[in-house]
Amino acid sequence: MWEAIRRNKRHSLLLVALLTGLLAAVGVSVGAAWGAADIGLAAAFGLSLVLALTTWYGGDRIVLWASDCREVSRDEAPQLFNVVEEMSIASGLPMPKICIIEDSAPNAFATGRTPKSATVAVTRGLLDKLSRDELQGVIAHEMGHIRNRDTLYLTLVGVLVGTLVLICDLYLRATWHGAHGGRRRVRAGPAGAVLVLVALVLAIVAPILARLLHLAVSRRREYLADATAVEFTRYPEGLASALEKIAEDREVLEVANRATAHLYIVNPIKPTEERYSALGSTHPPIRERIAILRAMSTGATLRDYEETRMALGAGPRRPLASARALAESAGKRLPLREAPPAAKGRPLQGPDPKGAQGQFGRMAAAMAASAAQVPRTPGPGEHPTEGSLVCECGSRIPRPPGRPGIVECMKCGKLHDLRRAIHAAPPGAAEGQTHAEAPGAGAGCPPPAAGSALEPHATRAGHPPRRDSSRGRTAVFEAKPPAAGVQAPAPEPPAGRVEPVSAAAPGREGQDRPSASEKAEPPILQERKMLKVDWAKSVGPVRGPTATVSRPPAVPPAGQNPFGIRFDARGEPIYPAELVCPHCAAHFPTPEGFKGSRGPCPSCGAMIVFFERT
Amino acid sequence: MLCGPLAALSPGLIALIAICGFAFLVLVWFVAVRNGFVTRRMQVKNGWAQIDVQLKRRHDLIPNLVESVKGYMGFEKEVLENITRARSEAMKVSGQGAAAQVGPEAALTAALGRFYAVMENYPDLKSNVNVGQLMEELTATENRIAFARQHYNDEVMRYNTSIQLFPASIVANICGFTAEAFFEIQAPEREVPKVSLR
Repeated sequence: MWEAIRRNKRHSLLLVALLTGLLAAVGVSVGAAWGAADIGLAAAFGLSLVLALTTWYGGDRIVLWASDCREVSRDEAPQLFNVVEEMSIASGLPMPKICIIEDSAPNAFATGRTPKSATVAVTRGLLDKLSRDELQGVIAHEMGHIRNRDTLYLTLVGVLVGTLVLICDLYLRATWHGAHGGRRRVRAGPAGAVLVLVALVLAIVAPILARLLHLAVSRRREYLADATAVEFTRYPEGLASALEKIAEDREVLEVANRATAHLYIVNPIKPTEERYSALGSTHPPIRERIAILRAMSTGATLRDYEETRMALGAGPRRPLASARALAESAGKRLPLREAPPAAKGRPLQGPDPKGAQGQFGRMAAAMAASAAQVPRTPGPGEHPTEGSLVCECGSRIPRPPGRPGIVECMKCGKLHDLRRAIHAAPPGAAEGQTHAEAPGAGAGCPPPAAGSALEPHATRAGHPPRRDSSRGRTAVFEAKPPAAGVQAPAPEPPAGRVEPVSAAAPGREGQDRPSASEKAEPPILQERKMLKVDWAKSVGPVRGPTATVSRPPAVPPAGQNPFGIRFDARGEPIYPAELVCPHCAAHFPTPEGFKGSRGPCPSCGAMIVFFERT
Repeated sequence: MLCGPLAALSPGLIALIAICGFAFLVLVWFVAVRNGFVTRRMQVKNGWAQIDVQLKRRHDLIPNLVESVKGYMGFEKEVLENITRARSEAMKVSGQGAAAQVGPEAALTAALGRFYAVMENYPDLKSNVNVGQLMEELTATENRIAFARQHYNDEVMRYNTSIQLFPASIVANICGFTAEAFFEIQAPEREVPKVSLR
């Protein structure tokens, strides 16, 4: 490891020397073509010195300012802080500063001369869309950059390349304009012509060369950072799935530009954009990176990464580190951590509830896997809530996702109609939700986070489009299922889906079902009595200890239609005038115009699923 | 070759100077290697201190968590009691070094794992804000312990490897540097938590 850093530093100097030489050559030739070689040289060096010093001392701030990010404290983003702290412990690096870029495109970068003065910046989109493990993989990658001193190196190189490009550009412009009658002390004769020619060639070739060099170096660094990330987390799948998610995201990171592109984890300039340059990218192809990470099976060292990479034929042919560094890293056999049993082959769905992952979460999930022999009642979902309601007894009731009608307080049993209730604004950032809406959540119906609402394919499950309840829509219980084909109430096979992911969970909305209550008495059956139910308006308190019963919702068996629902040409359901609750056998009229797929029984409160939308 | 001032010296003296020079270089190398060992051993100890910090943090978090869920999870009394018991056991041996601490800390990890598994049945509780925060803190602390352990083991491996490679092993033998112990938490027992259906 230290060998790699030393080698990195050696190569920094080498490349810096090379570029300086190139710069000198350009400076001399341009100066000579203009008749004053020494001034040209001095100017070139002077300029690069000024730029280098500026970058050295202010580079971080310039980059961060250009990327429009904001430093955050632990209270604002506790989970992010935890993830970074874990990586700081695993790597032995001091804790970097953390910034958030308010952009919904997922990406991240790190900057800093030394590990002590380093900063890691992530976008809001990254926080919203990635799970904890994936976030950890990305952070590990960035801290790998910091440890390998890539940030220092790439910034220096960027400065030199920039100076070079600047001088060449100036010279070319000046020559172009000068050809149309400027005053230039050009040496007469063939010597002068040759000089001009040399200068022109250099001026055209050098920037290209410098850029290509920069890009090649940048790509190697990315591979090395990936390997370092695996070394930190011992879990390559985390980074692999994170890269996959970032790659599939179509959004454009607005604050990025060519100058800062190489600092990000994935090239923020996408091939679909106009400014994407086919000449060369600062990042290796994502598919290759993902393939290498997923193929790693022997261990977590740099050598294992290299072997996998060579076997796949990806990346540069020469090894990323010297033979000695590889041998040193081979001495330690670092076993990879096991993936959770259900994760293999699981398609990427909505984000997992963030507290669930991590080493500990996986271990606990494995224990739950061996234990859970029975299907568990799916609850309203583990999605963090946007706000909460304070009951008279003082306890806070979380607001389940979706559009519930009635919620029962777990402590005192009072029922609250959430459609009309006033929500207590959660105390500032003390909620600790890294959810984007945390600071502003709870006040009425807040607009959804920028990242979630704009995506038609709602990867942020559990955020159905907010509809104003005061408009009195009848389809109160209709939440758009986030993912087609999600079997919401079907009992999940125990071994398959053991983590508290329940990405299916947000598909079912409805009432908060406390699963334990001392008041679990069977509801009084009202045989053949028609209850007036209006699901569009407030139902008011329900009689009797009804809403405390916890039952799995009644799902019509596939292919059968116990409620007698017909579907019209557009696929909208046509309900009969009266419905029967399968649990308590109460009859109640169908609300007019109800087109939903499920609703609560007004007598016993159990959620009835009339049909499944596909 | 023997020109200039060297010509005035006898061959014996030249040999002596050469030997002294060589000995000096060996000494410099010796000191450098030994300093390397000391540095790495310091890193090992630092790694251990880091684990200790995280373990203590976990001890502090647990009472809070148990209090928050006690009202709702009264049915799971035995799980909560297990945790409290394991915690007091762990706190008894806290600060006594790796050998003494591994057992109780592993038991605590196992108890917390069972608790976590049982929490699956209380989705309402999980969506409770306070409990969610605490769970996140707990998960983060467990992860931190795991990573601190990983880092510590890495440092131990580096140190152990370096004192075994020849020729540095000579220095290690002379100065008395011995291998350090790894910190392995055995895998939690695969006990099936009692999941009560309601």
